[in-house]
Amino acid sequence: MRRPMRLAFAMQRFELRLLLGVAAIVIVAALGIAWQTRVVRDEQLDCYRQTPSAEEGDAFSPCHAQDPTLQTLETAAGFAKVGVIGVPILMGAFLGVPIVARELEGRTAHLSWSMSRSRLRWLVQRAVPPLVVMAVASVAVGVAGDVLTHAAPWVEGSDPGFEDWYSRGPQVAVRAAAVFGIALAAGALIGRQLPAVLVVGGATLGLFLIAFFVLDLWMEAAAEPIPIAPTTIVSGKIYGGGLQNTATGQLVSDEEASMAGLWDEEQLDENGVPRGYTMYFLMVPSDRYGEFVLRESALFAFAAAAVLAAAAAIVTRRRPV
Amino acid sequence: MSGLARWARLSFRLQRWEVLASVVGVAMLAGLMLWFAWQLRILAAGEQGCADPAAYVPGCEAFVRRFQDLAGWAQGLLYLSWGAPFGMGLILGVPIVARELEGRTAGMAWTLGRSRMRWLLRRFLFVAIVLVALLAFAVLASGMLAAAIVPNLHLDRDFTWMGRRDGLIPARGIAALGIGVLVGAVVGRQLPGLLAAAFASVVVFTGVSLAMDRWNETLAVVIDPYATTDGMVDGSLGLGGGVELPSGELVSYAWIESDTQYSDETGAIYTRWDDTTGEPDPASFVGWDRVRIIPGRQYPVVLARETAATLGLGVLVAGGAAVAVGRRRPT
Repeated sequence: MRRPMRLAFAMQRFELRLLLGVAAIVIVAALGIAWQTRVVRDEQLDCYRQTPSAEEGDAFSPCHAQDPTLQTLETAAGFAKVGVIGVPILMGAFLGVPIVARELEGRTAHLSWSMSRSRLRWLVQRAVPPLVVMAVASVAVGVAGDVLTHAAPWVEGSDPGFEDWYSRGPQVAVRAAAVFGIALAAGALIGRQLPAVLVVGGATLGLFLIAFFVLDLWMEAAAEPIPIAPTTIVSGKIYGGGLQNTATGQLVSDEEASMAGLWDEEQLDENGVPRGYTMYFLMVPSDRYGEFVLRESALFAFAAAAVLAAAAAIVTRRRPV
Repeated sequence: MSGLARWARLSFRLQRWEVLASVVGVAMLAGLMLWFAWQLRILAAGEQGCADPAAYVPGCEAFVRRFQDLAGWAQGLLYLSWGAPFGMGLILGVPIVARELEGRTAGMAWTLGRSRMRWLLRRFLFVAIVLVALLAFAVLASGMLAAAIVPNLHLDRDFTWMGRRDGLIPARGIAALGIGVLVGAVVGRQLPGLLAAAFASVVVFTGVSLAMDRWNETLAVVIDPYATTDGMVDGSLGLGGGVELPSGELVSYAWIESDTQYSDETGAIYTRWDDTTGEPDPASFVGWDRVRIIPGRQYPVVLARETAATLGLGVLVAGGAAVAVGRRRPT
């Protein structure tokens, strides 16, 4: 088992070194930016603590000195987040495509397949090592992305909710696994590396669009009216809002409320809300973040399993040219 | 069959997949852009009383919302027109040499040609012509879309979406093509070459962008953001803010050693607060809050500079590719 694994690594050493190097850069950059953001923000909060009369956002706010550094760090964090999104996808595409396509393109598939006990066994020996490396590296990248999101000045120990959905958490590894499966299947089907990469690009875009819309449908269906008071802080994904009749519990949308004249000056109470009503947001609270991560991961895992099975079927059935 | 037709046919057959993928990609992108531009124009033409979709005019709220929803989707296509030259340049450039090396046909191909340079030039020229033609089409479509999204802006003197709707697109395509050919010739394998070329492009174009920022700063002017409605001038390119000292020197906010900086409604900056007056302490006055911009009228100058620099980069890396092909072993 050790020899086939070593061979699998040796055949993709250039891609592995390059991608792991870039993944390491992204991880170090994300953690470094997160650390510096916390340090600078702490300095700024110290400044606010020492000048108790000042309020953040005030026109006379005295704690400007850290603003340019925080802005620079925020810009850098944006680039790091692009890395967190992109590197696992690139790993999936560039480690998956050549496994079969390079053998077919170089006309060595016949030799490789006949030397193994079965084509399926050959495929497993070739595909599993890079898949494992990719998964471990992607989890590390995702965790670094999570640290980066939690270090943002606007989070400060609170729940970031659904922010940075694509650029944090171990779920980036599940998405990468689906891309890897697509790449393996495309490489086996097309039998040429570069055209297969193009097909993988299109198919990945399609898969992510489908996942985006399915998840959005799930979330919209799960959105619930959350009453909000002037002092309430809510966090989550908002799909709409309006007014709730305090006595009957009846919901009135913003447009209906406007048309019914509920927002007229004389109807408002001291808090600026129509009398007898409470404002509400139709939203998915951020404490359901984990549930939707699991749902999306299940979707991508299902896609990964399907395309990996398809790749296995293609390899066992296709001609080795 | 003429030599020209034979050259074009052979070149096309060698890179059929990549050329067809690029044609399909640009056709889809341009088709979508033109469709969105058409829809936005129809929408705008249907509301005679609401001339500016970006302005608040009572009674136009529903139109503005519909227009902005559609424009939001359309702007996503302009991101694609930004990415297209990089993607297409690399996809078309990397395999020119790398495929021959990987397939062990380079020795034969280079022996059959009169010289390696001539062979490379013939391959490169075909792909460059295809690339520029396709990207020129993308420029036309993205220009029409940009004009439809912001009908009241003069985009010929406005930095909005620079590099996503103008001549910088084909110039970047040529530079990416050169990087692709060079890295492909050095690495000698297609997929690793594509990956390495992609990362090299990120580094190179980031460097170009930073260098251009420094160069373009020579065109910057300092304005008083408190004298404008939104702290900017229409169509200009913002370069960040700073503090103008009474001596006229512009320094960064961090230059002021005090942790606390108070700015009043006129943009004057102080470092101390006077609790007795409830105002900043006049004795602690440092300077004025200022913003540096490049005015929109300089857009053609900046565009010409950046296009020339990017094309120069393309020529440089293509020259590097020629050297690499001339010197390397055909295996």
